[in-house]
Amino acid sequence: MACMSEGELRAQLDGGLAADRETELAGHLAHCPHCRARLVELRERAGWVAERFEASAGGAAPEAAASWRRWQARARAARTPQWPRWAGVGAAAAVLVTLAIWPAARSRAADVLALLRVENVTVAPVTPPLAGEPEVRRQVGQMIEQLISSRLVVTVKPGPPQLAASPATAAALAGFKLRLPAEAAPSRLEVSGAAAFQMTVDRERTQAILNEAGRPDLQLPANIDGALIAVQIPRGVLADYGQCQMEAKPGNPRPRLVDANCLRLREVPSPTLSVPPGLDLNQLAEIGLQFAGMSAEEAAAFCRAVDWRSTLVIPVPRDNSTYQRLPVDGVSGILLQQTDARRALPAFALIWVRQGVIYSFSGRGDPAAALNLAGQMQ
Amino acid sequence: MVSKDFAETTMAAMNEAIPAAAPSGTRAWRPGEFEGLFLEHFARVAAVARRLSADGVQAEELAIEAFWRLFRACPHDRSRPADWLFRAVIRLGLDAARARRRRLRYEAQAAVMMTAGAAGTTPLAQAMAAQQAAQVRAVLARLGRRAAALLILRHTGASYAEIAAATGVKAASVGALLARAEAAFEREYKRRYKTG
Repeated sequence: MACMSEGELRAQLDGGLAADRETELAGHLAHCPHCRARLVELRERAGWVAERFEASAGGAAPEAAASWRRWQARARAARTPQWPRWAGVGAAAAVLVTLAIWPAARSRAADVLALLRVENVTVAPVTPPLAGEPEVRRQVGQMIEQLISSRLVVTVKPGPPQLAASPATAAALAGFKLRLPAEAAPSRLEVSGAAAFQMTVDRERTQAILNEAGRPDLQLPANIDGALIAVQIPRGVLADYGQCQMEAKPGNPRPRLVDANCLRLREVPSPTLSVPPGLDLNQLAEIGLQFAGMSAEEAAAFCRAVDWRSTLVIPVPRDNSTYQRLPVDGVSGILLQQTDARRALPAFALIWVRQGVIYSFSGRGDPAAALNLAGQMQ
Repeated sequence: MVSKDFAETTMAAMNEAIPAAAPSGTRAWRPGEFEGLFLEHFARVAAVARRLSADGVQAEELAIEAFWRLFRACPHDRSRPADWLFRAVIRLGLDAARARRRRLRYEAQAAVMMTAGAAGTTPLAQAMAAQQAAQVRAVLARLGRRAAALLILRHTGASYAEIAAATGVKAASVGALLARAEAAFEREYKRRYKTG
């Protein structure tokens, strides 16, 4: 019998030969050292490749039912492609809720839990609820805004930002050691004031929001009613690189950065949060994540994997943003990028945490310049 | 849980998106048909996508995109939807991986840190696994599309028949093509990462 082809030898390793051909092969190998050697070589290479592929297998597969719901959300959103303004408010509320429930379920401090020194950053992918139901979305947005405005008390007003003539002046005003890219000079430096606020939770009104949004299955615990959550945000620094022009559009009170040549670096020491003891913070976090589109199993797994005392959790909408982790400034950071194909210059944000200070570069278009500057921080 | 009314409203909305007179070679989805197909095949499609993704979330996004394209394509022949989906998700994943090539090098050259605190593994083990996964993706992005598809499908448990159908080759050729793909993978991997 002539020697076996490479294809048949390789198929034999996977049991891909017909039974009669398998028998022929076994008989041939018994008398052909050349084919035996080739088979050994193929087996070793296949095993070598398999070992490397093992690392790319990843963790547990996503739950099909939960993914189906996200697919449905996408199908609905395909009919209303624009990112709704309310979802921005919702996302901000989710950030506030997320901020407010970071701290330390595990903290053993006595009465008031001083929480959180941010040391890492990670992402919670979310699906904006009610993307295809504008009227309900508007109603829920109003309820959130009313709840926050009635329950939020600003205890320290930040005051107007102060311009600084030099990095040394900015550092002195801000009260922390300022780090900036070594090989670029900022075109503008601004120091924001410290701020603090507290919010007393109204369980009934918050539950009404969940019910109105179609999530009566998410039940807030009774003991959250009246809980006082306090947030303190230190002074921060904003440094502009390049030409930073803001554009205000009619009807939009918030001017928007439009220049592709502008990069904005923000740095602020970790905020501190406090909540009363006794709250099941993991339960609240899971509720928040489920409201933001995760399944119960995903939310539970996420909460188990995150160290709430030290991790900044950024909610990222699945439908119009991508993110990736990458090394930056000697730590692991997150690059967020808008994926709206209608925009010639999609926005991006590069976020990382180093020694208790939160840094972010924001801009439009290609993030390469931001990555370059971030690599020069000192 | 999604209410029955909500689900029915959603399906009605999706069916509205399908032309009443479908083009030749296509046919409209029957109520419940696409959902059943999705739930049956999603896990395997996501497993294939995972080989080309930095994490499970990106894998899910790729898988959902593949299903979205199938939904919009409305193919008349739906006897082997997995083949269509495998082709689609591999194409999407390789395109995305090639577009990220610069960042793939970035990831592959340094440890990519996982979320702190994950149970069961040390941070170092996580970082090394993530680095190796990034290296695998970088190499796959450099191979030809068919070679990458062969390797990915082989390592997600597809049979030779499934591999053949998804890549458009004869089943009898899969062994030879797989051997060549593995040789190409090994050459490229050792060239890039100078390992043994």
